[in-house]
Amino acid sequence: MSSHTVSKNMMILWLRKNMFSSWRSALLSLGSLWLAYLILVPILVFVVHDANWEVIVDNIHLFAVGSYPADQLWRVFLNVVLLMGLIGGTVATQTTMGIKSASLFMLFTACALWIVIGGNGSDREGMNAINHYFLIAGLGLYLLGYTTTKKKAFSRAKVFGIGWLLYILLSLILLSGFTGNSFLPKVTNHLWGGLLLTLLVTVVGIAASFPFGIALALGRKSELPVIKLFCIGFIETIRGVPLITLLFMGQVLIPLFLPPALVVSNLVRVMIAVTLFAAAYMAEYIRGGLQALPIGQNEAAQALGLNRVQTNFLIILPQAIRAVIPALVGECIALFKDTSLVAIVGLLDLTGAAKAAIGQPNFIGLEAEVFMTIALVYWIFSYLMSIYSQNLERQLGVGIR
Amino acid sequence: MGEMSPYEEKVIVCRNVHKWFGDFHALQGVNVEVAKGEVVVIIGPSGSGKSTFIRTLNRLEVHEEGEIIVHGTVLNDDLKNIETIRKEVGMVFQSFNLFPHLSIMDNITLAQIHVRKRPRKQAEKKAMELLERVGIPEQASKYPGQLSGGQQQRVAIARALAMEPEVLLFDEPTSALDPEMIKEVLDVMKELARTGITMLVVTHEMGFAREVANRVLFFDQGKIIEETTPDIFFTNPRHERSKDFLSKILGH
Ligand SMILES: Nc1ncnc2c1ncn2[C@@H]1O[C@H](COP(=O)(O)OP(=O)(O)O)[C@@H](O)[C@H]1O
Ligand SMILES: [Mg+2]
Repeated sequence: MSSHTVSKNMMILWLRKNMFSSWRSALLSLGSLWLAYLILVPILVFVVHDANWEVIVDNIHLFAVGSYPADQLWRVFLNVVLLMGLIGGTVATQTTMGIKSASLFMLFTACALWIVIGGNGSDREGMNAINHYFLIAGLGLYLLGYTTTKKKAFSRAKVFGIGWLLYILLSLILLSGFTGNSFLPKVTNHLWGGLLLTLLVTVVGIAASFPFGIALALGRKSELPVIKLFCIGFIETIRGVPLITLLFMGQVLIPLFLPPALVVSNLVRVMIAVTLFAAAYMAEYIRGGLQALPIGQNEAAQALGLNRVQTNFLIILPQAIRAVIPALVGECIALFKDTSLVAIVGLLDLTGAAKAAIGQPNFIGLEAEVFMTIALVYWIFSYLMSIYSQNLERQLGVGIR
Repeated sequence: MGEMSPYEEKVIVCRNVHKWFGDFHALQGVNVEVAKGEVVVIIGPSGSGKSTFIRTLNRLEVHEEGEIIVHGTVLNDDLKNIETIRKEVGMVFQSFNLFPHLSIMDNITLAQIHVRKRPRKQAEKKAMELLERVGIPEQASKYPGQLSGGQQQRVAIARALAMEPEVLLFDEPTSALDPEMIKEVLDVMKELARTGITMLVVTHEMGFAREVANRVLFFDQGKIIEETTPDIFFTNPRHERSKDFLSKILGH
């Protein structure tokens, strides 16, 4: 028997076992196939035949970085290259993630970042070649980050606490530059946009809301009534208001709280609003984790002489956070998708860019193309976070009762 | 108590200690002194205040009246004093209370590093010595969830010992264990008792009390109603309640 017939037989066996084991399952299988056919075929026909992808190709710059000046794009690219290295390092802290899924993760991330870099859509001379160098450098740095983290056995806390924080600061400086500096000229926040802006708001929002959420969760359990009341009031107020309202309030209220000399841009106000919003939810998840901890953990820590702060940071929080990681990552994914609302307060994020592209006179009526594309981009990033979360859960499950 | 004692230095002094849980009077005037190196076994019916009493000694419970002095330090609201006392008093719990997110090694080194401020290397060396002593050096890199109950309790003892405490408190250390694991923990405790560390042990293990205790305290309704040597307590208890309790626990 040739291997061809063997695999064919195997397939028939598999089909019989999994899809046609009984009359009822056969019917269900056929029904599902029919449904899939009904849905997928028109989409496929649309994608390869009917769609006019020029709207994406022509606007790739807008989708990727908004109005970030073309001659300063190298700053975005450098940012992305650094990000690749950091992601490599982050993936390496996952001992349950095998080589196979790590490389899959890399390819997937690279594809995603390729979009930020602007794909091949850039029509400027010379930019294409540079793009490729940046992409290659990014892949190289990913491997470098991966191998050094593995070799030096950097902990997850180090990678996140030092690596990511440093990266966020660095990337903000790199992107905004300094007034009057000829090497890094100022690029005002108004010009930032597209996926770049979406990712920035997400990353800053997650990084800032996490510690803030922890503080709120602890504050809510505080014995000092003032702190406790403040935290409860804050959490319940924020959770009682839709994000969009908060974004509008941010426009009006944040300038009132700050001294007039300190003018903050729209982007900063949005980041503050998103951070406050996410922090309130994170606080509640973490509080759930705190409540699930047996009282004996606290007592054992006290009996050993650990003080309140040490007990919280070494014993209580690591366990409480671990217990609610799925919910916290879910909140991060939600935050990422919620950033699409910032388009309403005038920021040109990925969704804002999509709306702008649709409004262009030569691309009237191409909503489907545009929204399918940005949906795919949102999905890719959400899915990456989801894969990471599943791995994290699996790994943290080790050794826990 | 003004009884004759071969020991000079008092490690624990309790005078007229009272404790209420709301309206419930859990400790009703406890008086006791424990000298350095003594092994004191605390027995009594369930709910008589044994746990509450030893938990007041390291401030896991707050006593409302009376005086507690541990190794010369008065136990009161002063955080400095509490800190000092907790360094001197180790505790082993019925439910082990190991930190499940930390390896066995980290469980034992954590407080050494953060409270005793020992360098990590030194703390790890100490931890390995103690794991040898309790008989499970090969478990150092595992997590608590991967160990049997008896092994976990031995780790808990090692964790307490790592702080080199003056006194060790045990609250029913073998009550949560399967019978076949009780012995391995009691053996470790007996070995400890012979090294001269001061121990207060709440337990129902009468064999342990007979073998190593210098003194037995019998608790009933928040008071010590009998305080004597194990020999006298087991052969000739004075109180009706003690006799009752002994017949119940030894009778069957
Ligand atoms: N946190 C608490 N709140 C209210 N009552 C308590 C608390 N802890 C213990 N008690 C009560 O105090 C009494 C003594 O408890 P405990 O010291 O645990 O007894 P023992 O250890 O001798 O079995 C019991 O009646 C118990 O119900
Ligand atoms: Mg008890």
